[in-house]
Amino acid sequence: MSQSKALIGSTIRVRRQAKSWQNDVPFTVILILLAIVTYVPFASVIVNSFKDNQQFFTQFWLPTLPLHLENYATAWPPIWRSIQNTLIYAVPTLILVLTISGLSGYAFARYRFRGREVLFFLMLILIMLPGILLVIPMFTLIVSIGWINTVQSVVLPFTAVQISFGMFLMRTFFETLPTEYFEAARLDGASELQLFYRIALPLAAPAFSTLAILNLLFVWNDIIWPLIVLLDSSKHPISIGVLSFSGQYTTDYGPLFAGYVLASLPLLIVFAFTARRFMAGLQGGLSI
Amino acid sequence: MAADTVQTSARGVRASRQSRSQLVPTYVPYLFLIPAFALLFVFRYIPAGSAIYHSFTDWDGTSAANFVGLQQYQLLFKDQVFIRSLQNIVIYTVIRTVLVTVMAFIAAELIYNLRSMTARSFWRILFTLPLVIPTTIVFLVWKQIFAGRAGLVNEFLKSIGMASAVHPWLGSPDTALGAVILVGFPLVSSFGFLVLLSALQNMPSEVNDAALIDGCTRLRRIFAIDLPAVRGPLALVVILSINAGLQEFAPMLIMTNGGPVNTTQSPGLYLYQSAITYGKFGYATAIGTVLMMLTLTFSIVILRARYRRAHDVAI
Repeated sequence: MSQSKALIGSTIRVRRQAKSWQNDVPFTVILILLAIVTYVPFASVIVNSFKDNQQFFTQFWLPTLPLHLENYATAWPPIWRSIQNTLIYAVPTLILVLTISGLSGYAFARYRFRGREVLFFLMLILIMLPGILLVIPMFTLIVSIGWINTVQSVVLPFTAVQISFGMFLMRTFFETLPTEYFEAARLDGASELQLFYRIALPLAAPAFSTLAILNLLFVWNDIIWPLIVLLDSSKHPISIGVLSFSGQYTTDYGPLFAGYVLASLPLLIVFAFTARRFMAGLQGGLSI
Repeated sequence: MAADTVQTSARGVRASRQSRSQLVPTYVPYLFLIPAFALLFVFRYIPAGSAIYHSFTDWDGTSAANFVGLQQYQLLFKDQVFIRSLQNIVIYTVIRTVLVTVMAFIAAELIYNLRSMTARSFWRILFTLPLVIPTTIVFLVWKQIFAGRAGLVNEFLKSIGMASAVHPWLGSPDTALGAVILVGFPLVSSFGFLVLLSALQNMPSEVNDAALIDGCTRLRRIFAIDLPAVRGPLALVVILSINAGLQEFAPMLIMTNGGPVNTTQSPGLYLYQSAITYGKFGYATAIGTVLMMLTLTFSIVILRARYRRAHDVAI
C-alpha cells in the first residue's frame, strides 16, 4: 500500500519535472502583467525626461528625437547638493542604528535576564507609537538645546526612530544562531563582548545589510522631521530637496523628470550591489 | 559583587540555564541595552509623555502652558475638519491595508508556485526594485499621473478612445481620496510582499509536496496550508500597514495638501498644520494623542486575533 503510494508519488514528481516550464506559464503571464503596470509610471518618467515641453505635449508615450540631455544638466546641481546633504545625515545614522540595534537585539536574543519581557515590550510598543505625535515636543527640545539646523538634530532622532524595529530584526536573526557556538567560545574563555563581535557580528552580515538598506530608505524618505528642524533650506536632504525642486520646475517637465531620475539613482545603485545580501537577511523571516 | 548578581540571575531560571548563567555576570545584558534605552528615553519616551501631558494644556510653543483639562479634546471633537480627517484616514487605512496585503500575498504565491528557482529570484528582485525609489518622488510622480493635463491616466483614457472619462482625479472632491488610496497601483511592491514571500519560502517543502500527492488542489492548499502557515508574518504586515496608514500624511501633503475641501485631509497632516502653520501646539498634541489611541487599539485587536489560540503564542 505505502509502496504503491510512493510509486505514484515518484511518477507524479517525474511528470511534474518534465512539464515544469509549462507549469510556470500561467503564473508568469500574470506576473508580467503586474510588472508592466508597476513599471509603466517609472518608464514614462524616464522617457519624458529627455523631452522638451513641446515634445511632451505632442507625444506622451513614445520617445522623441532630438533627446534633450541638457534637462539632466539643469537638474544636476540642486539634486546633487541634496544628495550630499542626505549622505551627511545618512552615514552617521547608519553607523549608530547598526551598532545599537545589533547590541540590543543580541541582548534580547541570547540572554535571559530580569525585566527582559518588560523591556522588550517597551521597545516593541514604540513601533506602534505614531511618530508624528512626538514631533512637536521633540522640536521644542531641539530648540531649547540650540540644535536647530545641526547634523545631530537629524541624526539622533532618526536613530531613535529606527532602533526599535532594528532591534526586532536583529533579535530575530540572532535567535537563529546555534547556542553551541557561544557555549564553546565561552568555555574557551572568550569574554561576553568578544562573543558579540567575534562570533555574532560576522555571522549577522546579511541581517545587517537588510537593516542598512531599510535604514537608508527611511533616511532617504522621511520628510516631516527634517522639514521641521532644518530651517536652512541649503541643508535640506533629498526628500525635501526634490519637493522644492518640483515647486521650481512645475511646468518644465523635462528637467523635472530628469531630477526625479537623478534623485532615485543613488539608492538603486546601492541596491543593485547589495540585493543578494538584502534578500538573505530577510530569509530568517519576520513574524510576531 | 559578581557572586551577588549571579544569584539573582539564576533565580527562577531553568536548571539547564544555570550552568551558563554562572559564567555570565548578570549586568552584561543590561550593558548591551544601555545605548538603546538612553536614546529612546530622550527622543521617544520623554517626548511621548510630554506630548500627552501637553494635550491637556493651551500650549503655543513659546509661552508657558496652562492646564486646561479636556478643553482641547472637546474642541477637537466639535471640529468638522478633524472629524472629516478621521473618516478619511479610516477609509484610507482599511482599503489600503486590504489591497496591499491581498496584492502582496497574491504576488508572493505566484512567485512561490514557480518551479524555476532562477525565475523566482528574478521576479522577487523585480518587485523589490520600486521599493528603493524615494517616496517623495513616488508621490510626485503619482501626482503627475493623476494630473488633469498630460497625466498618465488621462492620456491612457484618450488613447483607448475614452476621452469623455478624462478627469482631474486629484482636483475634484469625488475622486481625490480614491486617487490617493491607489497611489502605487497595482500595489505589489511592498515590504509586506518581501516578508510574505520569505515566509512562504521558509515553509518546509515536504508539507506542500505531501498535500499535492494526496490530491489537494493548489487553491485549497493556499487556504488550508499556506495561509495558516504565514499567520505570524501576515499579522506583522497588517499591523505595520495599519499603523503607517493611520499616521499617513506625506502623500496628502505632497499631492493635495488635504484638499479639495478637506476630502483628503488626514489627522497627521492636520496635526502638522495646526502646530506649524497655526502654532496651536496643545491642540496638535491632542490630535496626536487621539491618533495614538487609535493605532494602539487597532494593533491590540489584531494581536488578540493573532493569539486567540493559546498554543500559537510564540514571540
